[in-house]
Amino acid sequence: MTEEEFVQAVERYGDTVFRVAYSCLKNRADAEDVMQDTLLKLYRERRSFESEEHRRRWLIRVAVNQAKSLLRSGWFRRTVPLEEQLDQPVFDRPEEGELFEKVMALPKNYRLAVYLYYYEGYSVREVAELMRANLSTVQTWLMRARGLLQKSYKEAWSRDGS
Amino acid sequence: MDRKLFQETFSRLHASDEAKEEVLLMAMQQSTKRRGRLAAKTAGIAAAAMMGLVATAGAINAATDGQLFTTLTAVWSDGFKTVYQSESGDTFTGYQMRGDVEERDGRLFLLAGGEEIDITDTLAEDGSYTYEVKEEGFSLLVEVTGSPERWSCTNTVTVEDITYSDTVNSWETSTEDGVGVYVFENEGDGETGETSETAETGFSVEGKNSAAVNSVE
Repeated sequence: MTEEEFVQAVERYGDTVFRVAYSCLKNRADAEDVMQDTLLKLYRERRSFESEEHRRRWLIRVAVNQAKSLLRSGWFRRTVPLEEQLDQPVFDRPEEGELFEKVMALPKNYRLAVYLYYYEGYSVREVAELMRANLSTVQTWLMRARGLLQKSYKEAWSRDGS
Repeated sequence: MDRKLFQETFSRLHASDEAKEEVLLMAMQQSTKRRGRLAAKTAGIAAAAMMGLVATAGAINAATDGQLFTTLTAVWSDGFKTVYQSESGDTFTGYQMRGDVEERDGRLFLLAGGEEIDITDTLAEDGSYTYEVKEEGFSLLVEVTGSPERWSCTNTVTVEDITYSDTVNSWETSTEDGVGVYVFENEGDGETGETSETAETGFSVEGKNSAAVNSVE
């Protein structure tokens, strides 16, 4: 890959890879580390991809694997320092912030499945391939994630109403 | 779940520009490191060249405020063209006007112009391999003769009207003591961003200058 092609790849896929990593790790610093490692793997990758979508999926799989490795290694941050909490995205509407908070409170696999399904627009089968999980497992994760989110919203509404 | 809300929400999540710029720099550094000895030699020759240039080229001397030594930091390279920045912020572009032959895993490679060319078969069949690159104001001709087991590599660099030449032989103990030529163009004032007079100068340095190598990062 030429340097010019790599610059384009970073611009095109950098945020995608970052969001996948953030969905797994829940903190910016580790997610950016994974983003960088993943993109550097792309830079060193000698194979040619069949299409941009093929390249995109390869990047997502690598990012997922990198994030899992980081979690297994124990080096990830278990608590988010205050300054990182302030590094959260800035939302235009309260409901965006609320949704973000609730999704980030889901278990790791649910978060990632939800992100790939609802944001990246992959089918359940494609999410299963990207996460190297069984189709039925992903279906369960998505169903439970929706259930937890609904419950969380109901509880919030109940609190607001009281 | 409201998919539209989900997409609007997560669209706010971006990697920082610093992280993206950093990975570009890492890739460039890897690209430079991958050429290993070539990049190190390039940097070493560049530093030696700076010293030589100070004595012979008025424009470069002025740009470095008459310093004999300055630290150059390579900020970008494709293996052939390297952009350096001095301590004062001046930028210089160097063109690595040299070809080197490297033996690797039983194969013979010519490293020149930012390329790595496997010349094993051509050399075995024809007994010679020629590489030429021409830029505005200077040219490099690399001629490798002999066989993959016993070869000679002759670099001929022409800068304006001046020609430099050297030959390195495979049977000699060190292949690193060849003549290196580095051409610099001063690209401007690091502070104001204005471009001063362009200096294009060719020169010849022999061997390695350890002091000069130390001054280049």
